Amino acid sequence: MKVVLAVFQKEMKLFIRDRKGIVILCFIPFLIISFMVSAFSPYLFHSHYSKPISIVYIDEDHTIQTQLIGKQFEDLPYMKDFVQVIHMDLPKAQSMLKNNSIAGIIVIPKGFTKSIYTADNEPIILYANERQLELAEQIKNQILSACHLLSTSQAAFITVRHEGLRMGMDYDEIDQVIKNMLPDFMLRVLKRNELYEMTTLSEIPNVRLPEYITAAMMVVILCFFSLRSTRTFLQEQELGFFQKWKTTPFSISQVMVGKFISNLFITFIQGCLILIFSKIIYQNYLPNEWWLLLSWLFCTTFVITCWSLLVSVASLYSQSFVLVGYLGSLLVAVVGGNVYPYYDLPDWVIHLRPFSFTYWSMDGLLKIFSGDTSLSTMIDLYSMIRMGIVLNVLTFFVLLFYWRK
Amino acid sequence: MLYLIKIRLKLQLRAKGYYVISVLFMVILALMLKETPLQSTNQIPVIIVDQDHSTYSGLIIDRFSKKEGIKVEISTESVAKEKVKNYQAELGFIIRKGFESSVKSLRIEKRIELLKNPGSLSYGIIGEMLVSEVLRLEANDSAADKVQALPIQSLVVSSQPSSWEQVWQETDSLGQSSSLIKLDYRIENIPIETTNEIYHPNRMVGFILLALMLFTLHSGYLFQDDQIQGIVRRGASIDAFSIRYFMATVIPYLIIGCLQFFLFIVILYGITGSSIFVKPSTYFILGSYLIALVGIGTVCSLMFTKDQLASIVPILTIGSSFIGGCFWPVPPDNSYLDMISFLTPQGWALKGFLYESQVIKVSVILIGIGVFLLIISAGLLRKKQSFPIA
Repeated sequence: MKVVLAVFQKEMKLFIRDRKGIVILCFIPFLIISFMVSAFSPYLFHSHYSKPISIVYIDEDHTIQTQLIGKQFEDLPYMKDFVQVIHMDLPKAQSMLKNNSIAGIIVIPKGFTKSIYTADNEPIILYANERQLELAEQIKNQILSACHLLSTSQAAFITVRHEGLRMGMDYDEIDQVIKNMLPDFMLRVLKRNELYEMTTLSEIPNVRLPEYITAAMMVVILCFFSLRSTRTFLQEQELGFFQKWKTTPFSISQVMVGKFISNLFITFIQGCLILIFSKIIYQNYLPNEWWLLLSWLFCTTFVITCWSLLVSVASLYSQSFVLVGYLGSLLVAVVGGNVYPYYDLPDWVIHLRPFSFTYWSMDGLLKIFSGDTSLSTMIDLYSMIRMGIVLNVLTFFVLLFYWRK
Repeated sequence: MLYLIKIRLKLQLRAKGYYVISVLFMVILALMLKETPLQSTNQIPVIIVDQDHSTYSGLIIDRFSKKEGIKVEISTESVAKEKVKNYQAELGFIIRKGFESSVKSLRIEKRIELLKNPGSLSYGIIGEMLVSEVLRLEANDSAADKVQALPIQSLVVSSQPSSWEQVWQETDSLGQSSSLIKLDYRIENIPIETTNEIYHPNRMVGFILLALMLFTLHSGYLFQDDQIQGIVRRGASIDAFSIRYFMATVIPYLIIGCLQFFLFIVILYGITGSSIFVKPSTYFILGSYLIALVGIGTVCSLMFTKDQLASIVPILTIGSSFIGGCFWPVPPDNSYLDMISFLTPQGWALKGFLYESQVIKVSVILIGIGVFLLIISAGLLRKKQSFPIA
């Protein structure tokens, strides 16, 4: 036990001595999280099949009706984040189209409203950008749906009128019937979206963007910090400590336990600091059940420490393993969906997700941040502990092999 | 000089395991990030679940499936939810049981469940496409009901009054053909030459740039070993040794970078049967990028100790890749971030991949950075070892 304590004290001293490193360790997580929140949030939950559309709306008719049509593109709730409407004249719009800056141009021709009343039906013109055709087609579909709504109502009126006249009703009578029908039709058109009961599905618990990014990046950042401990291994190897230990009465396992505990402790403290500062800066939700948060943090730091210990021991064979450790951490994070949301990855990578400890860590913290007590973190904690044990077993064999060499 | 290069190459290539691992990592990264579901389809996938199994629900699905720009798949509720949740479909519709009777009684509220994910953008437009078809049925029903309720006032009717079904059919076919508002849809042909885009470099290219930087910078330990062993100081006594020594250290460094990349391309081609860098211009950029990396690596290896370098290389690589847009593309409307990204070689290289017209400019800048840093490092070496460069 004395040996373990001595190694722990030595490692702590080494850590505290590197003051510049401590400052950087405190500063980097917030730099990364803030950078991601401010700059890259549009890429995180983007659609795979649609992207925001820019269109030019040119109203050459300038009537109340045509202004209302234009407003439809700007004011409908589902269009607000989707379609950007620009107002300008046709030559400028065509130049933008040629530069591939917009998906299309909608032109309401002069005399459009009048032509509806006189049944000349002057068409709306939609210039579609061939290079953004799939986006322009969505605008076309929106206009066609509106046309469709009007034409079905019109068809009902025409049929009733025609049938009424066939039955001997005079024009005034049938007009009155249609007038009575009109408010009902208008109401149905206005209430059309009540047809739907909308459900938003997501595997990601309901959290705010800073909470999502904190949960995704925290484990990755802690992993990189923890890998710094591999340096001490390399230094000790170069100084011949491993050979010297063979001549001492204590076993290598005591040294390893000391190193493991110190690394776990340092990573745990760093994790606590990130959680506290992220609460202050981003107002991230922290539950009243502190045991839940602490047990998550313990399991996360445990598995991270196991991983960095494996990399450290592997680096005794070749220094390049340190590099492999960094890149490997990045790979594990990609597989776990920490760098990119999992649904952005190929299917075969998604199937590998349960083998990534960063995934379980992120999943657990997201559940905690969501404040939803129905979501249990037990599976996340259990998976991390299980992975940590597997990594430790691997470390043991790698070290045993090196020790006997 | 050639002899020196040969020795250097032999020395560096001793760590075969390391080079195998580095190339293997690049291949794994490439395979992992090669597929990008984005841009892979020009039809929006929509899933429909028919729980009503009625004539009306069948009609709605049939008409909706024929609309342009969408690809309709009929499935079960669990599959629909899974696919929408996993972003494999933009949205889904579940036509609930009792849909037809609701339309007939003109009470359609909440008869269809619209499933979407947080990223769904076009759910509103696609929802409008479906709702317009539902309202068409409702209008047909409404017209048929109204006609049946009309009083027969005189016997001008030459034939029998139309049945409910006849009126329904008449309204339906009229709704299809007549339209108050017409759309004149014109597709504008935009020549590709007017835009500079080759393709959007995906995240895989970004990660390859990251891996190349990590491995190239990591290989830059030679100066340090030589400094520790006193080789440089001893070599200073030999006439014109320094420039030869410098070049003989830098050239293998570049050769190994190229070799790693070449192996990566060959292995990836062997596995996938396709090359990710098709255009010759991309090889220009990658070559220039490697020169810039060699410059950075040489300066770093002279400025920092071996231990410092071990800590700095991963942070420098991952940090600059992050800023340079390797993980996520730098938002084009964010000029501040765009400007910062050009402080990194990855930012320049990605710009070169994106714009064909910028290839020469980007290559010149990257080579310029490399050459400039190599000159600086030659100066640093001279200062450190206090001997003149021949």
